Amino acid sequence: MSLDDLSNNYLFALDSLESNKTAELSALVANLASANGTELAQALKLAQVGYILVPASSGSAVAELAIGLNSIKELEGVGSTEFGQLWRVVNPATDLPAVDETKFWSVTKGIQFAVLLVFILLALPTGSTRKRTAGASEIFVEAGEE
Amino acid sequence: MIKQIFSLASVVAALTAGTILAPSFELNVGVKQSAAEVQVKARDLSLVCPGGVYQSGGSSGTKLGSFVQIGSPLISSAYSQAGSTELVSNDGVYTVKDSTGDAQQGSTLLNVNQIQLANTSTISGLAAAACQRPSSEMWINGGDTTTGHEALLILRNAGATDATVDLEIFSEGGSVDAPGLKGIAVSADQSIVLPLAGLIPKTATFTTHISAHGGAIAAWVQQRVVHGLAAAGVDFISPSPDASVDAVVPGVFIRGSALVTKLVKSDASYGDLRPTLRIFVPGTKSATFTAQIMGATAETFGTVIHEEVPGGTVVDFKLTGLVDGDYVALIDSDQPVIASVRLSRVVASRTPDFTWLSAAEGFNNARMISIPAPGISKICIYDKTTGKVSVEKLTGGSDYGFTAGDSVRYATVIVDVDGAVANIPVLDQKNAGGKVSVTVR
Repeated sequence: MSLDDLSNNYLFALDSLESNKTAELSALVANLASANGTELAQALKLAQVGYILVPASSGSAVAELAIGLNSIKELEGVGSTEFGQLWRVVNPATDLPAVDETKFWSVTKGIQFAVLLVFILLALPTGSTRKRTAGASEIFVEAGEE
Repeated sequence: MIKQIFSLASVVAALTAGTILAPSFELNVGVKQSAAEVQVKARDLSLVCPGGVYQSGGSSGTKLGSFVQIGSPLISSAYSQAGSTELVSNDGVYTVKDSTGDAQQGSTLLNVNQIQLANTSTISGLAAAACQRPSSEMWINGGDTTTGHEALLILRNAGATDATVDLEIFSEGGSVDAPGLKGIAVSADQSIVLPLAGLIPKTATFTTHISAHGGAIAAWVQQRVVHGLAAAGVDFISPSPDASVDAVVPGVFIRGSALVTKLVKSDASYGDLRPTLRIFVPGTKSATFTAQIMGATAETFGTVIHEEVPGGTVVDFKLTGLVDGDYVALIDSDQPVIASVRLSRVVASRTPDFTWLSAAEGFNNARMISIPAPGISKICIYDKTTGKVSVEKLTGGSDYGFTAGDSVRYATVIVDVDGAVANIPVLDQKNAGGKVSVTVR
């Protein structure tokens, strides 16, 4: 289970990701998996990666990957966790940019607002309902007078 | 009332039918990212050799727990000098430095093997090994720790990070539970030697599973035999390929069978000179297999074994009735098995020697192997497509190449130096690289 299976917002955000950023991230992942000695410090900083988790799994492929990550000088092993093996980036990016809060609208907010608007419209009293309510009241008054 | 009940039943029936019969559909919101193929440079190819054979008891032979390497092996290698690559070697570790990552890795880029003819009072025989690409997991299907037999597990960590090794050993009775199997530390750039008799004493038949964590390692079992006071053979047992339902062991060259029969009649302890097939079943289910020992010519008839081996156990089968000749062992099993053959060489002029033949890798790509200069080397090739066995005498000091083709071939080189025998598997070792699929999610 990954984040794009859980969050539609994340899925839309991925779709709008610039293709060059995806390519940079893909190249970084490929170099990490290959453990080919390529200098990765700058790429890890640009991608703002602080930790790498290899999900717990048996098999030689995962063991080979773990051995490869151990040989990368930009990473240091943290150890095994209940979710898998964890590595820490030795010199991670510290000057992370602030989250962009300028975008007021999002898809979720739009849907929420639309639903709210529909409920408000449904709750508005119309002329016919007022008339029906008045008629019922008169009948009730007459019944009480008897 | 009846009309209302009927209406209710109709509505319920319609809803039920709609639920059952309605076609299923899937609604996707957003766009799932597809995997991107990224061209990536592979890790530099590094092949690690075991070095000289190990002598127990140190240089004096009397110091317990001490192992020293004696003599120097003869290294045979072929390096293609492709592109901007450069070969660097240090203490039996051969690395092709490839700054661009353009060179295609494999045996055509680099292959290295070693042979050593040992002739001391305690070690005698020819030991050969293909130098290995370090890895995290391997199976060694061979070895014997009964009286007169010594099995040393050699673990070599040629990397820059420390490795921890876990062992699993399987015998005829299944998995062996012994202290000291887990958490064996192999420091960076170090080798360690473990006498397997300390873990599984007096065991004639076993298979060793090696798992490395932290760093990759290369591993062999050095098997040595002593009959009475005379050294009677040594060999490096190399890791086997993955378990398979159709394993092939080429290079079963039977020589001196009459002499072996004579020796066994005079002393039963020479029984281990008879060729033996070892079958290990790594799974939990029993494997029923048929081993056809097929001769290369019409004169060598061969034999057939049809047996069952319980899951998680290993069993030896004597290959009786084979006359001198060249054979290939073809194992067909209903469950994946790891197979190997112990082959002896007995001549009148020297003490006996033996070699453990692991099952060969099937391949149809281009491969290359360096042939040692001394002695007589022969390559045994089994072509799976045609079913033909071919044996070819090779020129010492040359390189033997296979071209890429459609047929799947299995091959092993048998080396004979002064009546001592060893084998070198034809491998194609490479690191993962090239195109890697990456999904950003």
